[in-house]
Amino acid sequence: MRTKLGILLMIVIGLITGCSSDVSMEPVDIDAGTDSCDMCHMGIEDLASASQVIMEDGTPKKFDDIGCMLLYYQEHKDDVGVAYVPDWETGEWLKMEDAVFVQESSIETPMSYGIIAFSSEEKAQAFQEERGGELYNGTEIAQLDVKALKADGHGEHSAGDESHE
Amino acid sequence: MKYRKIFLLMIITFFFAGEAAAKEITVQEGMDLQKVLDEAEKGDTVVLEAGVYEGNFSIDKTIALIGETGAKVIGPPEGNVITVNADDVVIENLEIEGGGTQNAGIYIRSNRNKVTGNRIYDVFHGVMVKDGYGNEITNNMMSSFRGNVHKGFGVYLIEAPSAIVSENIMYDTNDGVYISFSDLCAITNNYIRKARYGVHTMDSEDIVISQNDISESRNGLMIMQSYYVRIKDNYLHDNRTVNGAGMFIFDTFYSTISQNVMERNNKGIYLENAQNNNIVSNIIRKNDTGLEMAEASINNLISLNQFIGNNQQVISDKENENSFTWDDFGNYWDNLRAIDLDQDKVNDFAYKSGDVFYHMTKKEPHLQIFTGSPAIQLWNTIEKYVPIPSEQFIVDEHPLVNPSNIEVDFLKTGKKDESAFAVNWSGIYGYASFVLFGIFAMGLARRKKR
Repeated sequence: MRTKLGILLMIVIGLITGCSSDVSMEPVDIDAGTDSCDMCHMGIEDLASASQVIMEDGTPKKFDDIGCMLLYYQEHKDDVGVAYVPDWETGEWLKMEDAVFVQESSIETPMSYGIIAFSSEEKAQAFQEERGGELYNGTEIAQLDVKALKADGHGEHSAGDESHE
Repeated sequence: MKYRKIFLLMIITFFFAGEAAAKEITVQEGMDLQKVLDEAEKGDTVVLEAGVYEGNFSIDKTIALIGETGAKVIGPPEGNVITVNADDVVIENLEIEGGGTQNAGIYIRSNRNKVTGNRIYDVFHGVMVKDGYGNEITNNMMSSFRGNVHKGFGVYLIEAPSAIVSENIMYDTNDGVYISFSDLCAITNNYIRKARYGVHTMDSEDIVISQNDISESRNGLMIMQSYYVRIKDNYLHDNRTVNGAGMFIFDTFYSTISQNVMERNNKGIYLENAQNNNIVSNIIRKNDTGLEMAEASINNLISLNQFIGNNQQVISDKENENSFTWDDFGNYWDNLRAIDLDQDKVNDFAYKSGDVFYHMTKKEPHLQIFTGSPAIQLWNTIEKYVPIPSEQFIVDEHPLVNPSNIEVDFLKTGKKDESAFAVNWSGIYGYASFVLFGIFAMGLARRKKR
């Protein structure tokens, strides 16, 4: 009896300690107007373009632009737990690997990287048909040369550049 | 001979035909404004009488649209209120409000237009220019949507080179002026309150920012990924929302920052990855931190500045190498212990400023509770006065004994710094009352004698 109780106690203790050492990898709230981008320092105002990663130790890092998040991700790949991007249509957080991305320089994002995320390939394709741009899946976007997007000359305009009509 | 006269007449009519056709069209409330704008011809002036004109309007010809006092153009909740497609258009003296949540009061996509004397409020962006050069936006008042909503910019320049944004008043906006991919712009004499950033540049070159008064914002200036920016005669003060800086210089190269006053901000000037810039003859006064030089800020020249009454004068990342002396002239530090035996107005000993703790708190943020503790202060004091090279401290080899003479053009006419030249009335009153009291006392003493 006593051994059984001991085993049970050990299991319980194991569970409790196991749980407490487990850090939350859930996305955190971003407070527009207060939080700043951990890459470019700009104050985050536009939640539709914002992004975040949760580090292995549970520390959240917040970004104003998916491009900034990717730059940070590429620099700190080994320490990153999960990366989240917002669904362009609903604003819900999607895991980077599950999302499908469209990059098109005429899409206005705070750092002008022009990257937005969708929950499915169909939705991304529908957007791409209307506005143009390149399609990437979660693995491809993680390897994207983000800085080259700016160097590529922002002056090019696609047929879809009618966002301010 | 006869033919010659006719020929001459033909030439004259040819030259004056355009001029003669220009006319003034008056529009009253209730009339179809868009129809008038469409039917107007090049060079015409369309005058709006007092009243409300609702709709999304577009100007497709070179005309002037001028409001009489009380003329108000209100856009529906979608689209831009006024879109300018033609070159050389003038928009003057209108009240503009409304439009969509991602749109502008005036959206310009053409060249050399003038927007002047308008009041633009309760819009997303005030004036947005995209793909057009040489636009002038002067003497307007702008403010974004009221209340706690996502706000747009006062003036948004994107691929809009050679723009002039001058003498505007802006408040409660995201950024006062946001310059993106636009070179050769001049942002001068604007008065900006309660913005995210007063003036924000990104990916732009050869920008002039001068004589602006910016306060109560997160950062007065936010200069990002820009080259050859000239920042002169600005008054950047009380920017303290979310750890604000007078100017935040990030990824910026070969720029000149001179004769500015940074006062009562969380940080006077913050540099990160700022290289080969000249920071000369600025007044950095009463900020929590005067100058913070974060990582990769190298090869900057910092001289002839006045550092007065900042809690921490300078903090620098220890990898940074910058020059605090130019041609044997350093900066003025009000906490310097002046020793000038050879009387050359340059202190005989180098000035050191920094915080040994800065680097530790960067690595271990929770150590911050010890900031300012006696032990740290002692440590800092020892670092400061012991003449050994120290990684954490900046060194000014030739600190000035007296503050350098700095003339801030813009403030000379304003209310600031007048006290230095004004008559010291309290002293005169004090002296006069002392003399009067003396006479009175003497009189009293004489009477007693009798």
